[in-house]
Amino acid sequence: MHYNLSSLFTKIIIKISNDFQIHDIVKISSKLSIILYLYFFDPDIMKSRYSIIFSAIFFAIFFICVLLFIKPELIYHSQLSGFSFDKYSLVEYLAYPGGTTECISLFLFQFNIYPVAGALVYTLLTFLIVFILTMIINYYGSSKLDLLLAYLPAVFIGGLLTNYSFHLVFILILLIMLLFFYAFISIMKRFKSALVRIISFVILSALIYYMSGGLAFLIFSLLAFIYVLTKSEIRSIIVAIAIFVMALALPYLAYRYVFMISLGDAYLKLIPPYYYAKVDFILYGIYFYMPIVLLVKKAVGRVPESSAKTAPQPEKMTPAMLVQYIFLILALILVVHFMFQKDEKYKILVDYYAYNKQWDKLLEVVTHEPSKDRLITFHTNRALYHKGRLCESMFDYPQVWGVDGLFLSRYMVPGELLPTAELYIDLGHVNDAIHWGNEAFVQNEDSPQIIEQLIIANIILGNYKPAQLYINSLRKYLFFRRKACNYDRYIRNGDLPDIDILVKEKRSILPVNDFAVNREQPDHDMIRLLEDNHRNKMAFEYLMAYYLLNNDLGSFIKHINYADNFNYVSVPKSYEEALTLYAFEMQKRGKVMENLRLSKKTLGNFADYLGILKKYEGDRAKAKRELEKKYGNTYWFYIHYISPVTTKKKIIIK
Amino acid sequence: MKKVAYYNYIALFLAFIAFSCTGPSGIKDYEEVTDYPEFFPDYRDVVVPPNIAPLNFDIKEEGKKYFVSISSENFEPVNIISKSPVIRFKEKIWRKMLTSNKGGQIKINIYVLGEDRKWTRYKQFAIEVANEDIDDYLAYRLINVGYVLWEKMAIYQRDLTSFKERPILHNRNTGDNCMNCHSFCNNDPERAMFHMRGKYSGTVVEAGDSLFKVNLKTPYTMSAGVYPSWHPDGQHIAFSVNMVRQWFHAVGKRNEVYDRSSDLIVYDIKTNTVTTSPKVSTKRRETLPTWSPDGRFLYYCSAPGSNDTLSYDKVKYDLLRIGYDTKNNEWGEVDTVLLSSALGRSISFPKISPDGRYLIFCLASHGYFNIYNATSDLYILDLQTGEYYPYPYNSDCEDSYHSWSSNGRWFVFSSKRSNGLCTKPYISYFDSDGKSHKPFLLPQKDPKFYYSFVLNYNVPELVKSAVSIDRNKLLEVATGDPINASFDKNVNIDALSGATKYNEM
Repeated sequence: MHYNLSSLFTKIIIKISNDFQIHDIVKISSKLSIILYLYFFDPDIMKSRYSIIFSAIFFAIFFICVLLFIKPELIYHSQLSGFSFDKYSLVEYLAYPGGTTECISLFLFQFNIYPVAGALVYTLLTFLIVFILTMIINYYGSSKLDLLLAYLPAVFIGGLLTNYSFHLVFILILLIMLLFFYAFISIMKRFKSALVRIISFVILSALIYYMSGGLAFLIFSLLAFIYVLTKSEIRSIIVAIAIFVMALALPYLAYRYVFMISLGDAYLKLIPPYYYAKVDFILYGIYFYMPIVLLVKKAVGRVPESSAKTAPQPEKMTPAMLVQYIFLILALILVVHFMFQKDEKYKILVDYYAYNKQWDKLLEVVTHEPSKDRLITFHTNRALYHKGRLCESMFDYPQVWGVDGLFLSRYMVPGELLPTAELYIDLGHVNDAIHWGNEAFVQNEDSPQIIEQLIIANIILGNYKPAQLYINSLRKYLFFRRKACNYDRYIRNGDLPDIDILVKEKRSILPVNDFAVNREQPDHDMIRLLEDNHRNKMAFEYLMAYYLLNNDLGSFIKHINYADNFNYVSVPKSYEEALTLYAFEMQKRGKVMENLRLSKKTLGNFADYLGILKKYEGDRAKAKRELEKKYGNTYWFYIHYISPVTTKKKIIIK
Repeated sequence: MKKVAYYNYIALFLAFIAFSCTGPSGIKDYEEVTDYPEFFPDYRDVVVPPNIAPLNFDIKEEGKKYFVSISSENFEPVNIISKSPVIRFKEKIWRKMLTSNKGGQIKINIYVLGEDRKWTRYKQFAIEVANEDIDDYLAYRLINVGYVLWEKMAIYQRDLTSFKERPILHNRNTGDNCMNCHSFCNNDPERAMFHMRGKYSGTVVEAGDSLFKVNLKTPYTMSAGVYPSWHPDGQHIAFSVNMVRQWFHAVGKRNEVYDRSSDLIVYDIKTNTVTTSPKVSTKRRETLPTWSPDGRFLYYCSAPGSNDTLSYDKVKYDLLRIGYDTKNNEWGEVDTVLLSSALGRSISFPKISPDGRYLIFCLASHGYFNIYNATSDLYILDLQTGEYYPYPYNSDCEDSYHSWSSNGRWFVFSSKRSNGLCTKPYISYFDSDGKSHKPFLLPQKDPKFYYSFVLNYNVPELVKSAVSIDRNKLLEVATGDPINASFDKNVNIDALSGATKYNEM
């Protein structure tokens, strides 16, 4: 078994160092997980085969929940963090307490890019937590609730994973904490000398402090302190005093003489730097759960002097066990279900499809489940354009944000920087795409996806030196090496058709004459893009959409002639609706629009729309319900009821 | 079986050590080519200080093996053979070699073993070793290429005699805030300052034994202090106060950073007072102050006010100076040193050599924020003769922020020449005749480091020795509350507000 395990590790290392295939890793990981399972589940500790069967079922459900329900690829897309094999970055992580674990967690996190591998990572880590916890609990002798005590953290880890911004480091810290505590217990059992115990504790403390930070160290110390106090020997009291002193002194010494950290961080650091998501109180609950378990076990009975390995395990399924098994599996499913952030997942899924340019899938999702979220509206509009349906179908989808669902740059939040860069690349507004790409990179410099956008944008502009710098940087991300090599090959030889098509297409619509980018009024930019390049269809459709969403029919009419440059078979639906409305308004002012040919269907619908309004004596509020039912997807309904210009709704950034 | 393998490794290791220390006596059978080898960074014909860290380099020629032979007059030959094109020198040998060859040169021959098992020798090149040391440390801020937002940043110091780099202050300890404009008095690490923006904002000042944070924004100044310059007395710091704005280009250049308005102030550390004069707080835009080494004059740049209808690319800064007596807080008269109209370009970042003879400045098409302006070049003004001339090693990329060494024989500047995106520090020798020499890129242990390093080396400042502020104290001060500077009561407020006080704009 030992041989198998070590040879597997060697295989993994060799595979990583070479240009490996992900299915190899998945295969190896699956084998590894089985071997680990059999290897660690020492029959002395877990005699009951029921335990093994239950454990297998529990973690299979856990794995399926992560893989199919939570989806690791969405966690990855939400956090957009990669692990760079860059010496400078690695050294940065080693410069402060907790950095090492953060670095390892980033390494593991990158596997989320492949869903099976990502789900395996989370499941394996959780399995190890439960396993070590089981062994620790067993030191205190068995009781009926041991199974529940050991598996409860896994249930809540499942729940925490439903938060897409949940950092993998928090799971790793818990695992390291338990691992170190288990090592401490083992040392305590093996060595009776107080000095050896104290020295061991000091070494373990220093290690865990450096690896995982102040809070992990304090909880570890608390666990060790409680454990030692359960012993009735005098030398244990000496060790307990040493632990207490160490818990107080080590962070201070680290603060004073070793690391450049604040005193608060020296004692309590848990959260990685530049991590802005709110940390769920459940996480702290899980961390402090272990000391509580120890106290409970202590209350139940003293730690047996003999090894827990000899603790009797039930051979038969007892009702108490059965109840716990069922409870834990149900608890896992229910916790994941109730903590699940459906809206967040939906938003990330749409963003994920947009990033991967899976426009059909995106539209399928948003059609099935319309959302008023701004980012979703933004991506829906992008998808509609790319499928040639923006001017036909944009009002089939919620447009409550008006122009701010078309462009995000007027009110920007960090998660919207990369999508904005992508949109501007699409539009041929590449100089500004680089601007937003760089802002996104500032916010997340560990993101290979952002680096890739910067490579593309710089290649389009012919800025090969900066592109090369980013390519070299991208090459340091394990799963992006091949992409980096392709970009490298392209800028050297230009012989990669996929990249070449995109580059040539975007270069053909680049603006020629400089202008000042107008973040507040993106329509100005669209006009300039169009003026320089009459064939920039996306700029045209976005300009028209902007005017429609902004209730600006005058400007819409003024620029509609650009449509002649594009081969529209017929007047697009939303344009026709806008023209009908405009003609109607003009007619009211005594101006007849000649040469305006509108379809009978649209004219008929508009007459009907007006008829319904008239039925309610022009009272829009009263007519709303009926109009929404029949004409909720028309421009007329948008301009009367939804447009933020009409409703006077404003975005307030806090 | 295991033991045999163990001894084999030791033998192999010893053989490797022996071979790499002494190297073969030379490659006898080779083909000679007349071209110089391609290698990065380009250290050919540069002048280096005798105390600089090893100039490791990466040979860009394809080959199976590389042999580098270094000869010099006063040191035994150093040979390195390597399967990797990355050539690294041992620090001790390198240091001895440079020290022995002060005022001389070292000659480097590069041989490359091709696929055909034949050695090629490239044209020999030389590195000159100056007599004068450079200051031991370089302080800089490492920052991403961003325009509006920031996240991770720190002010670092790098030991130029080795490869050691450590942060002076990292923003992960200070609420992820922005920190900038670090500055030293006469390259002295014990008289330093930097600004903090956002959370914990203020200016951290270390003046000998005292370390404190001050809020330089007063009701009578448009902003807190921005671009600093220490007076040689170590008790006064001149700042500009600026209302900085930014906009973005759609084609070509990425952005424009400009001042809507700006003035000059002088901060007196002892009295914690900010003073100014109507002469440097006019409706024009005064900025980028720098003291003359004797402390009698404050040089600065000045452009017409933004109320004047000038398009952004027509805004050009002149170089002016004004007398200032720190003892009596008396301002002299404004002198014109160099007019932008005479040069047709805009002058910025004046920095005077410690002997007071030369002034290096940036010359660009317009404005002063040259880090985003590829037209920015370095120029040298002889203050004795009034002659000015371009630094002969300007590039077609941004060549900008510069700083003198304490002995005036070296200066460091920021340039984007290596990648067109991020600034990297280049060090240039400046001889006693006012002649500057080919610059070299700050050496790194791994010369390939720069290939993928996407951070800017911002505001490189040479420092005589390490900044050794008590880090706990520094953190405490940086994250604590600032003291508020008071405004000099003797200054004619009307003059100030009549000038460019922001509220009046």
